Amino acid sequence: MNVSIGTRIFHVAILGAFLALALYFPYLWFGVTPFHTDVVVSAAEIERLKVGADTTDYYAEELPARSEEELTSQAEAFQWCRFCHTLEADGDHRVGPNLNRIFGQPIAVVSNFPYSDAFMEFQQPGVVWTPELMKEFIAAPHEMVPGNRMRYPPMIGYEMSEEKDNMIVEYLLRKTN
Amino acid sequence: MTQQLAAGRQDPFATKLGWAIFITFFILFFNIINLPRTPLGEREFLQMMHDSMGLIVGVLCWIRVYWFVKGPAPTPPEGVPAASFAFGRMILFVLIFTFAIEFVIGTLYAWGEGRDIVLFGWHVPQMVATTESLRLLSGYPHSALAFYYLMLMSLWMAVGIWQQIKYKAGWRRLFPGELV
Repeated sequence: MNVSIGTRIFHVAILGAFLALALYFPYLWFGVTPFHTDVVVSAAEIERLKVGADTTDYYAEELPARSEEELTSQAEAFQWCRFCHTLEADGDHRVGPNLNRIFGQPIAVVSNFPYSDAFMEFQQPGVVWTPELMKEFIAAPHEMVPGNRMRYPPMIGYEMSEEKDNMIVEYLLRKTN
Repeated sequence: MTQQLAAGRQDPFATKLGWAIFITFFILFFNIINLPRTPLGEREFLQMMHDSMGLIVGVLCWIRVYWFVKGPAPTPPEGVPAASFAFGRMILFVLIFTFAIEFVIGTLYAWGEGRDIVLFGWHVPQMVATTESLRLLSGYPHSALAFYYLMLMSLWMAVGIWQQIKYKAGWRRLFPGELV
């Protein structure tokens, strides 16, 4: 094919620009980095943040009995959250932090997770994750913590509802214990 | 290669490879959408599918990359300028090369995570030590290149649609097959 060098360079430049954008995209969209973040919030700091907070042990409370079908619906409601969060005790951080035993913990204290500035600013003494706070957050994450990186709703056309939020929070209580 | 091809057509081997990549990648893409939504303890089968289909797509793409370089080069369909056609071919080449690279990086990512790679039930011996830096250095580009191939696919479609509107190059060539 008879294509000039200039045209070929132009084509390569377009595809190169797309590549540069793609390489930046995981950071731009999710805030993830290709390097390790060593951030460990000390036990003393966590205790300081817990002063004046609700001290209820949410994991000690009995959850409502659910049918197999209802449990499946809860798992389905949470399935998109799994793209970014692990719940298991030994689960690593994905795009979002591991959520094991999240209830009762202060905001933004999960070790080695690079929180956004927005979340760090939202952290305050006396505020811990409660099921109510979590529901409020899931219902409107960008109104509650403006500028945070959580992508929820996860995609265009995704229907959010209070019923779904309730199922997600109850699923979290069941699975992060 | 000096094999003569009719204008706007590619050779039978490239056509078969194109279909094979299209079908296997479609299955892999379905797997990619479902895998992260599945709880960690229930991923075994989907993960094996991901590894196995990834291997097939990866190998097919490396063969296709070789055939891009060594196989007979197609010429533009009637009415399509050489520069416009060359851009479409370049997008396709980079797309297939990206899939091929994804396969290599994905393998390193699995080892970086310390995850057992299972190909159709056969456990692949780990050849690189599990380290946090390997996990991060391979995980990040594995995600970034996924965004890249989605961009390339969109660009490929946009260029193809433009060529149809402007040069009446045909819709059929947007999909795998003999027409390019």
